Amino acid sequence: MTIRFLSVLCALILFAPPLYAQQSYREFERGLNLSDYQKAQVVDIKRKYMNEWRALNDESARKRLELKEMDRNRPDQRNRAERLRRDLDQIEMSRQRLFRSYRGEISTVFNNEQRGQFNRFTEQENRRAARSMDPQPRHRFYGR
Amino acid sequence: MEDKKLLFPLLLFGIFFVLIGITGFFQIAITKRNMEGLLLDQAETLFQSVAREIEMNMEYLMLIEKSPSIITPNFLNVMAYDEAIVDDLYSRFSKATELEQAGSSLKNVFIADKNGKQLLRKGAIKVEKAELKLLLKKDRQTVIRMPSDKDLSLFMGIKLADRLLFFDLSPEELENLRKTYIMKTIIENEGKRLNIADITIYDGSGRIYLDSGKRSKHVFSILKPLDSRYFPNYSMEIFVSNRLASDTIRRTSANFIMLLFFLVLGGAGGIYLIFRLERKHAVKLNEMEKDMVMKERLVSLGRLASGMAHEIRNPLNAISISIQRLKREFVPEHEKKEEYHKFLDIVRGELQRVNRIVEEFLLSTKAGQSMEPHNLRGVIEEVVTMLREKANRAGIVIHNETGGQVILEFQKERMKQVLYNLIMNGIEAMSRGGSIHISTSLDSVHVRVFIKDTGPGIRKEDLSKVFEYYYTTKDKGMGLGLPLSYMIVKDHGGDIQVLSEEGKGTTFVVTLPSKKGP
Repeated sequence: MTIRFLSVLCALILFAPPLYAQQSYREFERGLNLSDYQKAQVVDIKRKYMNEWRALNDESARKRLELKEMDRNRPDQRNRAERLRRDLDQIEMSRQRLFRSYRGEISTVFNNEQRGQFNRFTEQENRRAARSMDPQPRHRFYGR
Repeated sequence: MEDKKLLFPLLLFGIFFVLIGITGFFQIAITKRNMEGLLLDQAETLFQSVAREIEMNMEYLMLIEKSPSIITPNFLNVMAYDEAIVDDLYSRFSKATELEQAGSSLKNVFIADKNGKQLLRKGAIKVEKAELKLLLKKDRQTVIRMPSDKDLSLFMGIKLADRLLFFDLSPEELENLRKTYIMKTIIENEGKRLNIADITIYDGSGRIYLDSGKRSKHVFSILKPLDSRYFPNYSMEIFVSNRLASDTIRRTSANFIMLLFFLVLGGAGGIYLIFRLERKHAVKLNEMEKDMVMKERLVSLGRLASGMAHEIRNPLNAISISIQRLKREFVPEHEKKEEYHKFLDIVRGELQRVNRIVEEFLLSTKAGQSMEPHNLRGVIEEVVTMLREKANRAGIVIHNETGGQVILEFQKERMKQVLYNLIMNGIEAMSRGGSIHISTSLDSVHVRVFIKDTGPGIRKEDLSKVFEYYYTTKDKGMGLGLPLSYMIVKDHGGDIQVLSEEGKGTTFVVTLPSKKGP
């Protein structure tokens, strides 16, 4: 009886996932158990969106540099600076919109369990980003 | 002797002081050790947290290069680091003073004058004519080409005061820059979030790779290998503020020193007090011993005088009978007759005086009288009745406040003489009238009779003499009343005390044993 109890306990300790540990991306991806067909679908979707994200990043970087130049050399051009700031806000909103769209599209590929895992992981990442309290707009909260 | 008496409390205090000192020392040492343990735990936890954060972010950075199948928010955040890197590069290289440094730190650099003429080319950098023209335009300060699927490098051109600077960061350079930038951001953010005094990352050769640059004075640090897949052989040092711990230890030490100080103060004060009380007690004891010796001497003297009185009385009788015969049978003739009678009367008068003194002595020393139970209050009342008339004539009121019955075994006549002497002493002391209060108190061992007058009191220097034979301040006094009274009370196993202050009256306290001893 005691031996059986101890072996069950050992098995629990060895195989139960640590509740306190934060799940890594690799664990999350492995945990999804995507079929080959699903994998092909998500890669296609990702490729489509990735280019758009990169394009937005490029544009954001350029606008920010432009704003920086103005801040340094042309402080009198307030209207232009204001317009650039609005553009940057728009880019940020586009990024978020794009992620929501990506999230919606990719969710159609997942089954219910996978969708739940994806949502939970996304929330976990957003929480971590919020916790880091980075004042820079590098950590954004997506999918809210 | 005094020194020896002081030695014990001093020794005791010394041992106590040393014990407290040792205990306090160990207490502070334990507190210090516990604080260090707590700081170590805290630093360990922070180390793990920062290391995990670095590892996770690096994982995302590496995965994004390998193109992950699913994009999550953190991938987008990592991608956004490129924008910040561009910002930083612009800030760094737009300063003309860092131009030479830029040339040396970058692999692929192209520097031209303000007309576009090449001044320096380093590495395999390719500057398109269109990009050069763009930068030569008056209103353009920068050109940029962000990494893409086809070209993972980052190209950037910056117009400086008299130069045009172009550089091309290779994918490896960019990756290293991203790693550095991500780590820098993490140590800055985690440092702020977790209130870490400082974080320093060392590369494999032990050189500082990154430092949050906030050197504080009161810090506790741990240095451990980072154990990172992305930063092999790197180590991280976490500095935790130990201000609170230092403050706690400092306060504990200060409190302990204060405690020792007050202990020394209290101990010294206590020893001084003991010393003073000891001295006072010794002086009082000495006085009491002297008093006892004097009183015992008086009693012995009284007894001797009593014996002598017995011996004197017989010859006095013989002399008296002889004088009577001389007066009756041997009267001279004519001219000497009157003178003869006159001298005989003087002799007879003096004989009577001597006889009266002897009688008084003998009465007071009738120690052989039997001790019988009597009501002390009744005896006091008898004496008061006897003296009240005399007191009234002197304008003195006697208050007998003795209360109920107090049955004691004593020699009635002798005790009456004591009370008579003491009350009479009060009456004779108050020439201008006053009052005498007589009261008693009773406990399990003693009965005390208080005879208090409102007379002029006795001077301090005379207090010790009042029980001495023949000491009197009265014109007609013989100085026998008080010593005889004292002797009688002593014969009863009691004592007489006199309490007096000049101008405030005198109180005689007669203390008698309430039960007869075995």
